[in-house]
Amino acid sequence: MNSLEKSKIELETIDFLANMRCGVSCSKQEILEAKKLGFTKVVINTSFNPLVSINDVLEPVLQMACSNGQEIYLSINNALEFPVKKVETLYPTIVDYGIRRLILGDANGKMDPFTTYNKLRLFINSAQCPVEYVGCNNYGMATANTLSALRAGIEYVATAVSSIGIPGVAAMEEVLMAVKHLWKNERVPDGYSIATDCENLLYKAGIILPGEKAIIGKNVFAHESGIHVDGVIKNPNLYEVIKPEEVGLSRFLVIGKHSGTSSLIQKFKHSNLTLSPEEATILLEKVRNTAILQKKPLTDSQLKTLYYLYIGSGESNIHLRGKGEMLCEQE
Amino acid sequence: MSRNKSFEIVDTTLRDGEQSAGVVFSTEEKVNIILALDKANVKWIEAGIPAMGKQECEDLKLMLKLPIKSNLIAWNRANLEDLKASIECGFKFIHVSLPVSDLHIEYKLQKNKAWVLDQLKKCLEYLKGCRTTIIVGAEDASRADPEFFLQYAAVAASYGAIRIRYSDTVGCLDHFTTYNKIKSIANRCPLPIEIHAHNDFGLAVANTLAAYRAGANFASVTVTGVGERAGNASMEETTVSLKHFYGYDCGIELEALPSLAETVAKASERTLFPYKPIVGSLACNVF
Repeated sequence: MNSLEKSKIELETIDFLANMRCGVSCSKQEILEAKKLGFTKVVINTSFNPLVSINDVLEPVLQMACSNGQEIYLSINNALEFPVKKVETLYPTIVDYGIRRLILGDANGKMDPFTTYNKLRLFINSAQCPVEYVGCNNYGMATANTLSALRAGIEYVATAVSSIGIPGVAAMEEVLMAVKHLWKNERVPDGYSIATDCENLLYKAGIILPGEKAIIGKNVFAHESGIHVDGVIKNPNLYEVIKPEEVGLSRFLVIGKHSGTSSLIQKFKHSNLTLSPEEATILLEKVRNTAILQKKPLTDSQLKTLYYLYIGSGESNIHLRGKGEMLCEQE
Repeated sequence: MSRNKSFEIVDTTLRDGEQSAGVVFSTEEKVNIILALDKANVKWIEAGIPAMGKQECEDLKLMLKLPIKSNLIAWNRANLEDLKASIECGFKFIHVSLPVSDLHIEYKLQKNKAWVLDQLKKCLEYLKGCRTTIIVGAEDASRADPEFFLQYAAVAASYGAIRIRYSDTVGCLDHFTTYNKIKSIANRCPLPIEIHAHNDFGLAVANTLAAYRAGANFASVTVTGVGERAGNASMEETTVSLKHFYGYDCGIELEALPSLAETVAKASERTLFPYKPIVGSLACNVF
């Protein structure tokens, strides 16, 4: 049996329903629906409402979930806006019904990364069950707030690839790689395929991953600016905290408006060709003008043409090996 | 937390933003972006790099003629040729930049700290006779020895620079480390600090807010966050967050942000990610 067949069988034997949580609102009807669909884990979504006693609303729903034998997770999506004491009033109910985890949210995005940290430290101190945190990305703070949650001692945090969601949550790739590379936590597995995995997942959801997306975007290791290219060639650590291979991407040079002579020299060097500093200076002006005119970086073909026109060494078949270009070329 | 001083936005869309691989703004686009930024009350605009050549200078001269209130800044490496180009272009606001981390000084410049201070002095000495306002940049400050950063800032201050840019050039800070680093130097720094964050771990805006809390007085941003690698702190998220979390009005017309974002997205030939906060097509309306 080859490894593909083996993976297929493994996938088939994973009991997805047993491992997934089904989100329901505070409704007996939905609890029943979830059970009918085969879910054993349910997340009951509620929020604090000043007009209603949350315990009154929850009791009947929890009773039903319990008698169904379902594993219950309780989510209070605006919990962080309220004093810890308010959440503490739920602990007796949580204990009575054997609720697995309390999920605390910041649905209106009221907390910044520092207030999130402070608030969650208070929650952790008085917690009588495991606590999970869901960040809100309405203001772009979800990743930072989620890192704050982890720093505060929260052991379960919500993420989504590229922060997708309405509202979005923390970006999975950002949280994982920040914990691994910025916090030097060795328990986080290698991200050597994270870029491709995330791109594929989004693609299946009909979403195109932006090239500039932190950690996983194709262009985050693309360098054009002369100063940066020069630096990256000398020592990648100058401009890169993580190596492209660590997330499954590759570094590449873009020849465009901001390129410097060292970009050109390096580009030609990749193809075992020597460009002198003088030649690079001549070529650079032409490169810049072309890039400005077409509002795009140059293709290898264009670069070659400029070389023939302005440097022209008599060689009629210089070959610039670009990304994905085939080795033999027919003219 | 000393929060009574001002906190101003410095836009670098046309400079750091355009350095994003593959982005090229046409002359017309640059003019439109500047006019839109000015209309939105952005006081500081880093317009470009005169040392890049004739074409660039022509564009910059055109921009300097625009009837705007914003201050246009020319970015320069620390050498006299760059500075000369900026002066000849007609700039009144000059940004001079040098790296301050051992890593950059040794491997990129292949020099030493003494040389960096000396070179800064040479450049500022040259600018003395030019009737310009000086802003000094400290590249890779986030990985630099804080004492050297302060020494460097002291030199800048002695020549009358109006602020010093603290760059997290590689985007390696998180909001905790940003807060701690800025807090520890803010009171001892002879100049107001401008935080310049990059988004390699999606933390550029969080870091900018952390710097605000820690005592910085300026922030470099770009519209939509366009910039090197994963980009810079986005103007939309930074300004809206300042208002939302801290009640701080940095003076920018927030309602102008969505259309500014669209303009820059179009000019960069990049569709805004639908889930992008504030300005994405699926973003929650926070206005």
